[in-house]
Amino acid sequence: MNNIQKDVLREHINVFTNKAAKLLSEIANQRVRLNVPEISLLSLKEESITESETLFPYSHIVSSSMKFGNEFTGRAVLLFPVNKAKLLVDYCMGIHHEKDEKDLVLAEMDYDVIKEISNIMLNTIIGGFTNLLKTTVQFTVPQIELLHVDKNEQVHYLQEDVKILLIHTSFILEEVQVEGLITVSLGVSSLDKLLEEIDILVEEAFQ
Amino acid sequence: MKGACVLRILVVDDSLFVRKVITNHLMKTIEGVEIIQCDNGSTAFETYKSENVDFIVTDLLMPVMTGQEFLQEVHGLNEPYKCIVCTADIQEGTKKDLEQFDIIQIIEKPLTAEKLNILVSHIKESCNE
Repeated sequence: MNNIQKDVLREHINVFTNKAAKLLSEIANQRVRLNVPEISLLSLKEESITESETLFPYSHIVSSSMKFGNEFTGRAVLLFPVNKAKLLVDYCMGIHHEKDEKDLVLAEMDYDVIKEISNIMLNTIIGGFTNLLKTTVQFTVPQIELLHVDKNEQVHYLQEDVKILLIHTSFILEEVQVEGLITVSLGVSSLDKLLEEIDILVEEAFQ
Repeated sequence: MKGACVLRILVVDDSLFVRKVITNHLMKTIEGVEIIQCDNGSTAFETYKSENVDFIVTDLLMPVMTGQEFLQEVHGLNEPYKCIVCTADIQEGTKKDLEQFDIIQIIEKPLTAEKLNILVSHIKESCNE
């Protein structure tokens, strides 16, 4: 991926994540501030383990993943540190408490809220990609997992035939900083399609 | 549009692609326009102070200095300015924040030909004032 492809991709992802942030702000009834999304492309053969150390600086995380497929296939994952996920859920439910966030524990019902948040956010982002590619995909329902991962285990996201498009976005709610990570892993042919579409946009812009 | 009008437009966006799309469209549709490009609010403000800028087109979410911070600085000069914001941030809270500035219009990204034409018509109106 060259610099201009990266620039165009970042700009599109900025639009998609802002749409997702707007929806999140409506759910949480909170202003959501985004940082400029960082994107990178990883593969097992290239940056691999060294790069994966920076995937997410937390070991105790909630992962919500959705697979999507058709002409554009892959998996989108939304990750939050567990204690921040609980804070996010509580804000969405209108619960405000004074507890130290390290004492917060996710309850069964909280997973439904996380599932709904990730469903809306990931659909918005992947929907942005499919609109760009003028195609439609089918989604699986979000799968929620509580994970303890270290840097070596994070490599399980990387597979031989898959490229990881890593989107790192911080969501900052008005009263608490909730940092989330979104990763989108694409099959090689899907990534090629995406880059082909981007090349067309670049050609149009620079002609 | 007056034939003799030469407009200096400051286009501020961290994406080279977006700057290029806006610049190309303005160059094609407005005669005698001069575009100055900046990739963040900080360099944009320095440029704004040193150049004779007639119109600002700015993004909001940018590294180094955001569009809001840039507009805060411009607004603080207590001089009239004309600005259109092009942003993907479509939250009501953001729109409310921008009410303190003299923003002609907020154009939501992604930028389409139709939206770029809206931008052009505002700039042409401004030229005729």
